[in-house]
Amino acid sequence: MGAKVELQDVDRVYGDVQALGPTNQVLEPGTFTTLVGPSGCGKSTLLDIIAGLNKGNGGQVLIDGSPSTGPRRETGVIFQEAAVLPWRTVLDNAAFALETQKVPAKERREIAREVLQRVGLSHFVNHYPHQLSGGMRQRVAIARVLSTNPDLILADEPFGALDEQTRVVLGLELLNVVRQGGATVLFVTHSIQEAALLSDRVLVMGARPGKILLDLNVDLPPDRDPTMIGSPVATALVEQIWTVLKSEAQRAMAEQGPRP
Amino acid sequence: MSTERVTTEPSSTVESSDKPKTVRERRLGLTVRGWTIIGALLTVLFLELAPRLGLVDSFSLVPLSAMVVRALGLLIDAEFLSQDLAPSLLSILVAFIFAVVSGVLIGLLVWRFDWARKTLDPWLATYYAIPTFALYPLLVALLGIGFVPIVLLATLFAVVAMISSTVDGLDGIPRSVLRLAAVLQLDPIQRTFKVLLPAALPQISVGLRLALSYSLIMVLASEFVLSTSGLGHFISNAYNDFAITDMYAGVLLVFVLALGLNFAFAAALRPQSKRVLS
Repeated sequence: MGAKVELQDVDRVYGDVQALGPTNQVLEPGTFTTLVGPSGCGKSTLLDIIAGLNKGNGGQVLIDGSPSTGPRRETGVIFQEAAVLPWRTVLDNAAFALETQKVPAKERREIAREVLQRVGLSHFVNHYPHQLSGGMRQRVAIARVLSTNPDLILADEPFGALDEQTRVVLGLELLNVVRQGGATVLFVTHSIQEAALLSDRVLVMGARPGKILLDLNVDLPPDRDPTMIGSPVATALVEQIWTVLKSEAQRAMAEQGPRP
Repeated sequence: MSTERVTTEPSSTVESSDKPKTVRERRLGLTVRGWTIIGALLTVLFLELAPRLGLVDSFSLVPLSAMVVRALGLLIDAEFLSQDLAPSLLSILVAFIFAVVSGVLIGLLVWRFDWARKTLDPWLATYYAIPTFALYPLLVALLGIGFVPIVLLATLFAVVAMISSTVDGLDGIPRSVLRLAAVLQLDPIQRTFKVLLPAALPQISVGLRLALSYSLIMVLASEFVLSTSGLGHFISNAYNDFAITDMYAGVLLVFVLALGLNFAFAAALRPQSKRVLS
């Protein structure tokens, strides 16, 4: 089986800032890869380029071997702030992607109920987003992403605004549901522990120009639980990432100019 | 799975649990609502008693009860209904619909295209400083008097409130929602009707209420000079004929109409105004 996503010399310049240096990477199908790095290092830019929301200045993105030209329906994106529509119920939010793809009402509601159950929201189908906490809203957004059964999921610091415990629980939930569906995941975060706990592979990114400094495999069993964060494997990994990121963060803070 | 909590109760107790019981603020022994009611009662008393007691001469003001009786009489008077009330309501409705449809369309264009915003911004900012009504001699010269110039003036007056509120609403849409629309590859129609307009609706509804008031104000004011029918014409006619009770009855009907429309609107738009994310 070929690569799910292949980046060939992808780069991005904003004005005279090289946000993303020429990047070459391959994401294997069905893997959960985390992209970790300090803020402003270009990780969201890279994610946007793969999502087709932003264009690189050079190089190309191949998805399933063919060059990407823009957003595709089989890619699901989870944003930093939960992209829920406040005038729609939880059920209609979860069904929204299918609705825009003209799936008949009965069928899309059925699917929406099923994915809401997977993210633990079956009791809240008739609620409106303002009645839910931030973490539950993000679950609604995740349910909507799952509803279209994507083969590629891109998550841009989806739990960044949540507290530590909620973040770990939701992260493991996400890992669990995508493992069932077999989607390839690229998960952007600035939390090193989150990266170590959730992924099969961690890419550590440095800033200006944004480039991948380290490519690590996570040697933990496929079924993760919160206690693994204390395991020797995870600890060693976190330490390894920290060593690279510490000097990188110091350098980034020292030269931080205006953001693009 | 449930490490989080719902911020409000799921059932119908949402209403009551939303607002914890607080001690009502009191000023000089009365709640704020109490003072509002006192103010209204005093106004009613003054309007009733001042003319009766001779505080105000009876050519300037008639007792409120006389206005109410006459107003009720007008409401069962077929000629008044067909010659005065119906034309006014029709003009208000047509002007309001024109203002809403064109205002939302222009608002979408201004928000979408930078050149449109740059062109229109100075106009939008200064528009309500210009007395639109001063245009009426021009409109009489161009269009004569009657329905068309009245609706045109009222539309012109109301449309800018619609444009401004639509643009405000669209500007306030979170970036993640716009990015969602891009990711889902919505076509322009879906994007407009399933994302942009519903997301901007809380602000647009503020514009709707303003546009309705502005349409009503301008239709009535125009009818004073630009019409031979309508509620405004009825009032100015009564004034010219010293039919003081008719005049006040007309004014009273205008007040009731304006308040009624405003409350009806507020009630119709209430459910969605709550569904705003903090």
